[in-house]
Amino acid sequence: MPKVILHVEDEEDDAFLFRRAMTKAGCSVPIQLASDGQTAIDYLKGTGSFAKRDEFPLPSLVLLDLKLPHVPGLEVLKWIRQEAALLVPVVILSSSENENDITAAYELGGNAYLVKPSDTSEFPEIAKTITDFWLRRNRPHPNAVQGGAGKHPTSRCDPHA
Amino acid sequence: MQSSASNIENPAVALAPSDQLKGEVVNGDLAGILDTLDLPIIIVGLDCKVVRFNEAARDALGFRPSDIGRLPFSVGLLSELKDLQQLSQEVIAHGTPCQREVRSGDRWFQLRIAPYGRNGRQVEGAVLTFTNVTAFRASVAQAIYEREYTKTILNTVAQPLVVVDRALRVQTGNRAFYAMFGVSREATQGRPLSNLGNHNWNVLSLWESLKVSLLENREFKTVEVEGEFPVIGRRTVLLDAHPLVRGGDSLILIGLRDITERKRQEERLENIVAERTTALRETVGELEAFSYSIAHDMRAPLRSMQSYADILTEDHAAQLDAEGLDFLRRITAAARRLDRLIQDVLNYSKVIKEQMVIDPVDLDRLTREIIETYPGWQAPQAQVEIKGTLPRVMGNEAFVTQCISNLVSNAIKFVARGTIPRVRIWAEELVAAPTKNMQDGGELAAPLVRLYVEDNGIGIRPEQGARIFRMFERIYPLKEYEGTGIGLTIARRAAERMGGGIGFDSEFGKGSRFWIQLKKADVCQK
Repeated sequence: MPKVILHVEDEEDDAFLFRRAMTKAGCSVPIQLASDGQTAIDYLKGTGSFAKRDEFPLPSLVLLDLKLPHVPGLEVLKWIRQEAALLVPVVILSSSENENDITAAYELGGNAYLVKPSDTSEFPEIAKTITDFWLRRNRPHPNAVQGGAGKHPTSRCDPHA
Repeated sequence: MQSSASNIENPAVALAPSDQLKGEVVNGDLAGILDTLDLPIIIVGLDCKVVRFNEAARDALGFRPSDIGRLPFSVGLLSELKDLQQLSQEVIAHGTPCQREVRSGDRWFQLRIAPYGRNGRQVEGAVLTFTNVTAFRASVAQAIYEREYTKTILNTVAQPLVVVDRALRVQTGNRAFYAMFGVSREATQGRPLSNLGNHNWNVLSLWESLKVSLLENREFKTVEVEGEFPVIGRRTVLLDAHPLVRGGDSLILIGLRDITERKRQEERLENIVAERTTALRETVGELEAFSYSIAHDMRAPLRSMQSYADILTEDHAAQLDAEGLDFLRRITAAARRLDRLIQDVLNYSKVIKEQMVIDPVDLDRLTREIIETYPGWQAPQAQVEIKGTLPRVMGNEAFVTQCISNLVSNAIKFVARGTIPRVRIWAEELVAAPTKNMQDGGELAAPLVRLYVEDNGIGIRPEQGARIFRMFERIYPLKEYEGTGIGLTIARRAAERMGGGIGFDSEFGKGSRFWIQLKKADVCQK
């Protein structure tokens, strides 16, 4: 059973509406939000404020936007694939339909590429797809870290927080 | 003249110079010959008195037999020329002939007075011959006049002209020519054209044209020579040449035109046009990209707003009163309208600027798919009927989709309140008009297909027809028929970019029939 999803997304609205769509789609897995590339890397490294693994467990799925401040999404992907221990599936969720982006994402070891709809009303559909496929059907790498135990805090970017 | 004068002297030598000698010397035949000449001849003795004259002298100068023994310049017409009396005396005294041009009445004569003496020894008198030069003088005067006339014209015209000879040496130029190049007549005349003007005239095309002009005796038109000239600097000159024939001599008249300034102006204008076109194209490109990205970026926050409004409606309706819910509904409706506008602007941007490939399009499948996509186009809200199987056409699927969805959407939208929209869609193949070069085995133009979309709507008044394809034109108020006013503009641009067309006919109050026209796809093409 997957423990946590790491959603790397700098758009607050997108993050919020996507989280809501995931919940509506029946996803019960907590979502950790990283609003830029460096934060995502820090989270996965478990450095700084992410040191407590029981609070910030390693994710069983990374949803990665490409256009990110500081460290772009493709750099994050590259870093993840250089870490031999991180066998987490990475699904690109970006509004870019640029062929170069798509090619680079696969070449750097992305597991799937989903185009984030510019229309947020289409979020429920894509959330359902992700939930059904990546959280229910897909079997992760046997050696993939299944994350730490324990409860998960709410997202730092939750506008209700 | 010279030679004819000497011919006269010889018989004159044989003539009797005086009364005493007349009997012995004068040969009747010679006198007869003398009379046949059309040249008045008077022979005077040492005393300068008339010894003899011929018939021509009688006719032309009015000499009578009784005038023999008188001084010739007191006789007949010559009496006006008394002061020439002395000339005969001088000729006889010095033994050297003299010539003088004299006028008698309206005639001019070349008077030649030559001494004569038998066997050329002793001077015994003088022979006066009068060559009529009236016509000659007139023609000389005419020639002089004409020369001056031409010269004046040549020097007055503003166009530089120069005449060169067979060896392409400058014969003469007009004032404008010397002024144009800032050179003097003296420094130019007689010099080969090739040595002048920094050798700029050594242009092959000019040389060949001049040669051909000389050889074939025909004019040539307009050779352009450009170069750095002394004094006047860089110049572009146009030359036209016309052959002239003087005696056996071939000359060429060359007319020159300095088009340097015109060229510069043209270049300047061309540069300005090119610069402005580039700038304009850039600006248009930037504007297109700008409006596209503005529209695109506007959509995301708008959709977020819509989503939040939806969440409010879904999750928090219980906490709102009826007015609050109405506001929420209005927010959603306004957002939806703005979103549709943005979508249409984006579609329009795509239709005008997007790269597009023309392929065979399965019109039948595409049309049915489009109609299925829209819930509002299904029974019982609307009846949309496709008659028969629609043919394949040449087009771009995305563009054809824009055309069909806009036409059908209009057909369904613009109905009278309470009427169920009924839309009929069918296609017709237009008989292709034969191309011009059919007889030469030219190809038949590709047959055209017209796709009709007919409705039972409110129709369009004829006077409104011209407006409907213009952007943001609305015939009906927004309150009654919602829309962005871009749909038909998109459809028209899409049809045009596929090499097709769009049109309609309509009866106000009864309905409209819109059509798009595209090339039929070749049956063999898959």
